[in-house]
Amino acid sequence: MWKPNRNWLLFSIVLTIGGAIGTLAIPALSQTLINEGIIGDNLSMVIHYGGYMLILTLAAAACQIVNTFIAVKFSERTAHYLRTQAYDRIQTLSFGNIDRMRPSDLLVRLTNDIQNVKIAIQQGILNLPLVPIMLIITILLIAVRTPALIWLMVVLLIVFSALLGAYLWFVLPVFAVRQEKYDAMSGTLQENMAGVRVVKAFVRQKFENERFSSVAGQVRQSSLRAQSYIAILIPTMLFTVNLALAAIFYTGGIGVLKGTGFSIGEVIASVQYMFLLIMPFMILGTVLPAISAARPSLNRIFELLDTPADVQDSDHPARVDIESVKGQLVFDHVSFGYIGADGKPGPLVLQDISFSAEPGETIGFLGPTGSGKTTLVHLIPRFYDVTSGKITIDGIDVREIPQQTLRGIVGCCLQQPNLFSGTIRDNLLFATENPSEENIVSAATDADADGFIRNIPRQYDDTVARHGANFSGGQRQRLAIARTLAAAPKILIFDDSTSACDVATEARIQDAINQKFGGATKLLVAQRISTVISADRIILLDNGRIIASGRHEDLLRTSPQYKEIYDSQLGKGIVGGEAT
Amino acid sequence: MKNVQAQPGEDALPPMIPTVKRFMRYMGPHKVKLAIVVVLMGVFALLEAIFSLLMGTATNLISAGPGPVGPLYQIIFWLVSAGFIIWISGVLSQKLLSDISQEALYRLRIDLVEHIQTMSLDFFDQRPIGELMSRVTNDTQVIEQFISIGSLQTGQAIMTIIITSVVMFLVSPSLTILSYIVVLALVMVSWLITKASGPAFVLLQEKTGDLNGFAEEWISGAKTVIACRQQDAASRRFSGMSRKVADIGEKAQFSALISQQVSTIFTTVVIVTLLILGGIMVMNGMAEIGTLIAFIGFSFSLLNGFTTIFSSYAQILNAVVGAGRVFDVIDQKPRVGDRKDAPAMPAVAGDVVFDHVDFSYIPGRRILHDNSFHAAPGQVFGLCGPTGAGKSTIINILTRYYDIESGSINVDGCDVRSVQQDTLRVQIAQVLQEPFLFSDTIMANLKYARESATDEECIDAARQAKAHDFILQQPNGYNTVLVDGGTNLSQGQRQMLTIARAIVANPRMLILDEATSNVDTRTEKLIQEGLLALQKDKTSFIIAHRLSTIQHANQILVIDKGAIIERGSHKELMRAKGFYFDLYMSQFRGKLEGIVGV
Repeated sequence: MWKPNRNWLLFSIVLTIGGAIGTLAIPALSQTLINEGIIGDNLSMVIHYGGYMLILTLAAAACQIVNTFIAVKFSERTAHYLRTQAYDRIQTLSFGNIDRMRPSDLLVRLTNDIQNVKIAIQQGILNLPLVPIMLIITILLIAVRTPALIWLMVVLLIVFSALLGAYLWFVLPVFAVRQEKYDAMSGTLQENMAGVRVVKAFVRQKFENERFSSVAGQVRQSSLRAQSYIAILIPTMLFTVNLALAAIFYTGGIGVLKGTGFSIGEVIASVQYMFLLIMPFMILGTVLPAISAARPSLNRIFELLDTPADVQDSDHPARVDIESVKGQLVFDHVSFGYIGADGKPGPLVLQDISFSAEPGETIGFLGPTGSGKTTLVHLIPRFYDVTSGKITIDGIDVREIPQQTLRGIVGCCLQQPNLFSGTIRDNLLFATENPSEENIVSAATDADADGFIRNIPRQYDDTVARHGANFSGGQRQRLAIARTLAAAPKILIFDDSTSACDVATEARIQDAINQKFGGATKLLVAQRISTVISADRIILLDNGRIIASGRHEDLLRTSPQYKEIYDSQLGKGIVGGEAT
Repeated sequence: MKNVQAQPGEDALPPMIPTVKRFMRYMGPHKVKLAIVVVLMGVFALLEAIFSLLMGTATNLISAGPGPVGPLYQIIFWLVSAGFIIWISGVLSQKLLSDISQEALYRLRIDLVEHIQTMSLDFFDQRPIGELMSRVTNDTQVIEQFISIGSLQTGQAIMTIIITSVVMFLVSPSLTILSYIVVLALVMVSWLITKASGPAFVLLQEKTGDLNGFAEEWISGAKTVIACRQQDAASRRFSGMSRKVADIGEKAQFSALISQQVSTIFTTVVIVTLLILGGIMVMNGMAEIGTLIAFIGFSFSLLNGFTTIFSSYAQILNAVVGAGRVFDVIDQKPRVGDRKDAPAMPAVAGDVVFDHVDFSYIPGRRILHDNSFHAAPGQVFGLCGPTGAGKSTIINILTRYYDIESGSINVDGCDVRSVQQDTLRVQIAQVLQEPFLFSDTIMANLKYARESATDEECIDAARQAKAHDFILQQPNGYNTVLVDGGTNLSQGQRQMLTIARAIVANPRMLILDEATSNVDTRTEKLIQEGLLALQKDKTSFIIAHRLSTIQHANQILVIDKGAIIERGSHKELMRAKGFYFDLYMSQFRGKLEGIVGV
């Protein structure tokens, strides 16, 4: 992306030089104008030189405006390019990558980091080349035109460098400390509000107030510290300039008064040179922090762009026609460990899992948290790849099937029912290629969602807020189920998808699915035993291993662990009622 | 995109004067310091003008050609002295002003947060945490930006304009008028340019907001996007939005940066105009060369002054909007307020009576209809029913997070609305579905329930809640700091800690709101023991997800569509074969063989 723009960048540097020369020539012209025009009483000279100055300024400004145009265009384009590249890269990533990079972190890369890079590029193009150019030309001008003031120039260069150094090394870190305190205050507040029920339940408002006032006090303290640096720095800059002005009048004045070769015009020009001498330092004061902030940002963006997806399509994919897939699913000695930050699989969370599911069968997975239920079903649509063993669908290794095809065959309703802003219709159509009204309504009806959708003013066309915030947990789950059903996959996975629905609703949904998707292979992951109780087979997992498998009735007899879960959740069968 | 109008930051401008006046009250206690700052600003501006004049005098002196050096020394002495005083007054005024402004901001933030603590739950339901956070952080920061830096610049600018104008007029009225015409014309032009670039920035902010919002939503839902094969669609939409941001960004940035260039052009225009017109005056003997030089300096000051005021104007408006939004929150009254003379609730036995209670969160949309029941001290009440039936609402009105519409709720014969709400609430312990802990030590979290609790009491409570063992396994035992509210613990462990916390509080009444629904069976067994310990001798209300957790209740209330449709013990309800029986049986999905008759 840099190549075609190289000429533009060169052009930009030319423009910068042009602009700088134009700006720097102004003092020289005004020197002549005063000396030979006003003092020499030559009106036409005054007007001519005034005209030259205006023309030069306009020319310099034109150079800088064109340069600004280049800088802005280039930085915005680069930001757009990096942003879309980064986002596209994220779209190729797998679950494993996302787990390791964390969504909030990815978002920071897309927003703040790109913004930092953009500002650095813009400032870099606009101002950075100006620094050496202006410094060199100004130094030359002073050396040639007012050699008597070289000593002053050297002193100023040293003082300005010292002030800039103080700013970069002492003042900015103090502002960073302030930002930390500020973040800490936000964190405290965030927690206080998230826990408002707990605060109120234990009537600890006073305690919370004290906690907040302590962090707010730290913010005040650190702000004061940062501002007292600024309070000294800025007036000191001004003081330096004022002293330099006095020095110019002193040296120049003595030169003129003693007749040792200084003119009033030179004095006035020197004043302007001095202001020009400050500019590179002011520029560095804004550009250097921007560039140093952009460097880690750029690294983070590149790191993202260089991240390969954990799950890659096979080079020689199997040809699979989704329509003709039956949905026979086989796990063959599958083991799995999550890939760690070092790129190697970590401890095995699934060990030697083997089972098969025939088309039309319903299999339930039960087990304590962390037993590997969710991980197991995530391997089927290749959200993660197995560490060893293999998974086949109709005899084809899932790793041979292109991911997009595979996920058309396998529909997975995730534990987190994520909805997206838009309409209900948009959300239901999210995974399907069949946008017919019939399909939507029947999917919603099967998921027991049609009822509450019909109760909303604009029904299927009503809005879904960001993250589906305008629906309750149970409603979000049902919409997510409908979304999966609308895609009509051959293998259906529900990962604790009805946990927020009551048992009666759950039963209705399951009955509808059994009827509509009789031929599909259905996998149910659950915490609640009633979710899987009617499955054709229940697989009990513990510590990543299958410890029992069979029908409910058989397990109740053969598996003490299953019996334990059953007793604790359903209370030793039907208690207190006379049997039907 | 439809809610653009409701975006924060686009609020209508609140009445300027009252808002500023009200904010000034926060600066009020520092009247003396504030007065000193104003005086220092005046000194600063006056000396800047004198500095320019001195340079003019020096120029005049020099322009006369060779002569005695003595007067020059004097002028240099005064220049250095003026420079020094400018330095001192600059440092002092900035320092004093930041003292005042930081103190004012500190107090404003405290006022705001303390007020938020008094608000009722409906206040928090109505707005996302992010929005409230932005009141305390962003809005106060906008105010800070203006008062800690902008206000000083503005003050100095105003002082500079006034004093410079006076000095200029005293020295040369004709040059003053000339300078003013040039400066004001330029100020007008640059103001017009800024105005033109304004809308582009508003649009840019809006589009950037859209882009970031999209990225946030779609990246946090990245797994769903993958599962639904929407990666390409996501890329396309993102790229389109990004393109828009880049295009508008180009326009907005360009016009903003151009105004910098325009101001450099203007500076030269000022110099050239003054040199030509002033030069003619000098040549005609109407002015001295030194005066002309001084006036060039004055014009710079004026130009800077006006530019500063214009750029501060936007800052001032932002600050006023920010202050308006902050005061807006401070002015809200809690929906559930105590009567002025409300007495404290005495220590209760735990006798709870609901008498024909109706309730609605939003007027007109009734959630609870005509609920009546009586729980005697020490009884266990189970609440069950479909999701959204109103179980949690009953809990919310018992703890008086919300006030009821009609009927009454009495605890120990005392209407809950007649007493101070805090004194009622502190007598009801709650364990909620989502265990919430603070990012503090485990011990501090346990003590959160009761300030006066001793370490021993807390450890004892942890023992009862079966949490003691795993706490000791943590790196620093009870002094282990919970990261991010306890992400270093499992869900079950967090729940055990909240149970221990409720035991520390140890009041007469207890609420368990689906306390074990997110916990696996093995952990649940442990927790159940803790919960039973907790329920001992307390009037308990248990909202059940799994009906087995309320089988032992003295009374079960079955709630559907906001009304109690069945009540009785588990046995009675099972015998009645009504709603509860169906709910109970649906757990088994007809898998009754082997159970029936066992």
